[in-house]
Amino acid sequence: MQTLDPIASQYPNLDFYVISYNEPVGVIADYIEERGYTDVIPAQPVGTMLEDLQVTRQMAMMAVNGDGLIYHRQVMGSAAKWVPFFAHLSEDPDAVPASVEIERQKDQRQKDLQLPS
Amino acid sequence: MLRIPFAVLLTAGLVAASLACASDEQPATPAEPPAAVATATAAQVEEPTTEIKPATGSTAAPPTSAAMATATEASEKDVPAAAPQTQVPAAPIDAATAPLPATAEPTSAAVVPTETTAPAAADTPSPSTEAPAAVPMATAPRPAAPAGTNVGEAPPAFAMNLVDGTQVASADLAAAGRPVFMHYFATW
Repeated sequence: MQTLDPIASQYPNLDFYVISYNEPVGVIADYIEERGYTDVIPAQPVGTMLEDLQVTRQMAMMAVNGDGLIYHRQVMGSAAKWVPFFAHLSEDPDAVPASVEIERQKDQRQKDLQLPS
Repeated sequence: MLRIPFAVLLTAGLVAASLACASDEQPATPAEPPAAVATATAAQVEEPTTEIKPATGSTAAPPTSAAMATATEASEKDVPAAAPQTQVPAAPIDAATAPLPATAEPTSAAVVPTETTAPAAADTPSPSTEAPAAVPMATAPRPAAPAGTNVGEAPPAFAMNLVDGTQVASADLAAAGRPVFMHYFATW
């Protein structure tokens, strides 16, 4: 969140939600206010959202384009890898990932879903 | 002298008598047919009025002749038994009842089309208005995308609670048309 908020300020036409697995949304909102973050939106999952979206790791991220399609998802990645996707979505909100990128991310997801040996 | 006037008188009397008989017969014959025509026309005019009333179910009118009485009695027996179409067998009783079924059927048929045309008119505009509005709006702008959790797929519906107590659904985000980035984390 410390890294994400400065990046979010550069893309005002994107909504950045920070969603906690275990903390109530009020606690996250207080934390954001204490740190002075202004461009992230605290939220709390409803129902089986995490199971439905197959969010299984402690830190994960998902980008959805303007048409409601998953544009990018990543687990335990660095913020430097997020920026190109934010920039692309900012220029074209309905952008669809290339087929090569889809296959690459599917393979990466299969590795992420496997339990560490 | 006396024979000639007698003969003349006799011939004159016969001629006068024959003329008198001829004058008496001529006015009598034309006087009778108008009376018969008047009764016939009166009977024909009154017949349809009296037989239409039982067809509508109202009380029977007083019959004016014997034929009218039989016709009204037959029609009264048929009315409570079945629909006005059953009066058709009762009509052939009189020769003048040929126009009666024609007049009775339009009255019953005039009621039926009003009932059938009203719902038909109510049904026809509804599908005609629904068809052009629903088809292009729902299917045209939505691209075909597989559902799933991988990149390039449409995720299942989800919702999030915000600090102000409101709830944001995935449908709301898609309707807004704004890209969304969701960062999941835990504090443990």
